[in-house]
Amino acid sequence: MKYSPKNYALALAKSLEKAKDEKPLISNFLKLVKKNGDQKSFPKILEAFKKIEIKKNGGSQIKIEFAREASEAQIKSITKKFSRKDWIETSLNPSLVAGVRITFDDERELDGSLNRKLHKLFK
Amino acid sequence: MAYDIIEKLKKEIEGFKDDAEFEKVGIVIETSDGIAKISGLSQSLSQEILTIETESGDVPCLASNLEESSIGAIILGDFEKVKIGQRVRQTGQVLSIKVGPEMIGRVVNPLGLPLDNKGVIFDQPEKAEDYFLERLAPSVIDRESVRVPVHTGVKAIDAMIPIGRGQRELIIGDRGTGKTAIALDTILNQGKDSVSKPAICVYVAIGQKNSKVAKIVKVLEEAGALKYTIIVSAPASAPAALQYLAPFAGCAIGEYFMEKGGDAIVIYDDLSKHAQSYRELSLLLRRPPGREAYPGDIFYLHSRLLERAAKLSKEKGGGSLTALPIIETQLGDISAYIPTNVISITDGQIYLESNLFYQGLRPAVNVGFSVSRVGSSAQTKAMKKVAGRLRLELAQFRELQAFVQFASDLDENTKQKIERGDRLTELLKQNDREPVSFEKQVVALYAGINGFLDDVPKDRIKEFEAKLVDFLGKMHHEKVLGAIQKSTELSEETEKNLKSSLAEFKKIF
Repeated sequence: MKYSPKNYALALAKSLEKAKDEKPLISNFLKLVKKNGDQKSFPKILEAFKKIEIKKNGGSQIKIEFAREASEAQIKSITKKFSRKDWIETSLNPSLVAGVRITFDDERELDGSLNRKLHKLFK
Repeated sequence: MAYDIIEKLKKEIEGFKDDAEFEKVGIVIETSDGIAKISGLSQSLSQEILTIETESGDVPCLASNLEESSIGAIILGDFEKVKIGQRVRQTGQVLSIKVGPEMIGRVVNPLGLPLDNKGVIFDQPEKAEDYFLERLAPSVIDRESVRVPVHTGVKAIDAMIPIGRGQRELIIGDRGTGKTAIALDTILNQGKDSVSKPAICVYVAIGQKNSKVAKIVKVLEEAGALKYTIIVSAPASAPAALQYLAPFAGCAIGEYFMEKGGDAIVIYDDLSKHAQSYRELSLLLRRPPGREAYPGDIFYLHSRLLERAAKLSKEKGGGSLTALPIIETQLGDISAYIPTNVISITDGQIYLESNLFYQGLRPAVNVGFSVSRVGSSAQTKAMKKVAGRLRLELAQFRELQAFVQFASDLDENTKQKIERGDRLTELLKQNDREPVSFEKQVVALYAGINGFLDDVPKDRIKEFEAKLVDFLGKMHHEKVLGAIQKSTELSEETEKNLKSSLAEFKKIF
């Protein structure tokens, strides 16, 4: 039977809840994934696991995209606006032309990029 | 002009708000063969239009599968532009088509875009009405029973399998048996029908060859039938999504004319290919396959489409929408899955048989298997008078025909019945694209069932009919043809006149 990445992630999250020592559990988990030949879907499993953990902690997954390389101070000024429970990822996306785009849980976004403004203007 | 454009743009720039706002967004997580799987947009509606922001512009798609954590969408535009990671936004609009009388004479695709190089359809698009592709069928209260005929111009059909306005009559048969020819004759005859007001025809081509559609357009154009016809085309080269939407678009266009109080006829050519395109989409959307790999809702797909055909009550304007779906069978197997489904949904079927076609009986209607469940109440009185006896004579003829092969000695009465049956069958033969008006059908059939053809050689029946109609038109138009046309009845006086003029004609033939 083929397991979906979501199933793997759920199983791992559930077993980590009870475990005292996490290390052997994680190594067993990796062995299991290898045994089932699902190494390719490992990034997807990780993504699903991340979502489960963030949800469990009551936070949000926040993706911040900058049009150009941002300074430490700039990143800090934005990230400190969010709670500790949130998972924050920053990345560079030149297609935004200028500005910042923030996505919450892949569901909602706050798009302050020039690309979006131009798109809206010429729609 | 340039000044106007700049002024307009200036105004837009001045009034442009650049505040970033929270927006709902989805992300393409999977895409293949015209299908996209989208995460997010949990508030999306079923059948809502979503737009995928691709590098070369927005591509519309249709939300079809609303799942727990994702949406399965059918891409309506160029699906090769869609890539994983692209953003998707809601439009809040459910799939609809712009309709209006400007569409008459045009060839459009299922999204209402012109395909005939005649320019834009609507000069003022804001005046055109939006009609949803998926709509509820008129309720029981809004309907009334079928009572006005649709004259197809085909003698065998108008006499024995009559169709009424608001009826759903299936045309079924193998490939190359003349299914489309009957539909085309029906369209051509609408321009000639003098009994009731002309109907707007919508011909929906689903998965047909482009050459066939072009040929049909040419035939209609040459006959002047494009003046009241709209063609919705989703050819074989169009993606399955458009083929799936085509009949719904055709139906929406027909509904517009119905709700304006007019009559419309929609021809779905053909629903077998429609079912196949829906099967393709359903399998790509990973819906569970059922019999012959068709999805579980294939019956509902066709029933909800055909149920929209109706004759509206006077309070609702009294319009009508007649549906003529076409089904192509394989080796005459009408008990396959899709044919049985559509047979059970419709109010009767016209069954075309390849054997009859090759015997030279054209249109190759198998009168025994064909029925019309509601049309007889819409038949004109004149036609009813001749059709009742015609059906009986032909039924008896079919029964006796079997004996002919075994017995050589037949009594005079049987021989006569067979002779007459032979002649009546000959009389029902008709070339395609030559629809006959109803009053001419009545006089020809009257001559047949009353023995005026008994002494005419079989190979001269066609000539007899043509000359008779010509004779009546020239010599007795007012008394016979005109009288039937006006009153739609065959009154005693008209019958007397017809009899005497037939006798007169026989003398000179």
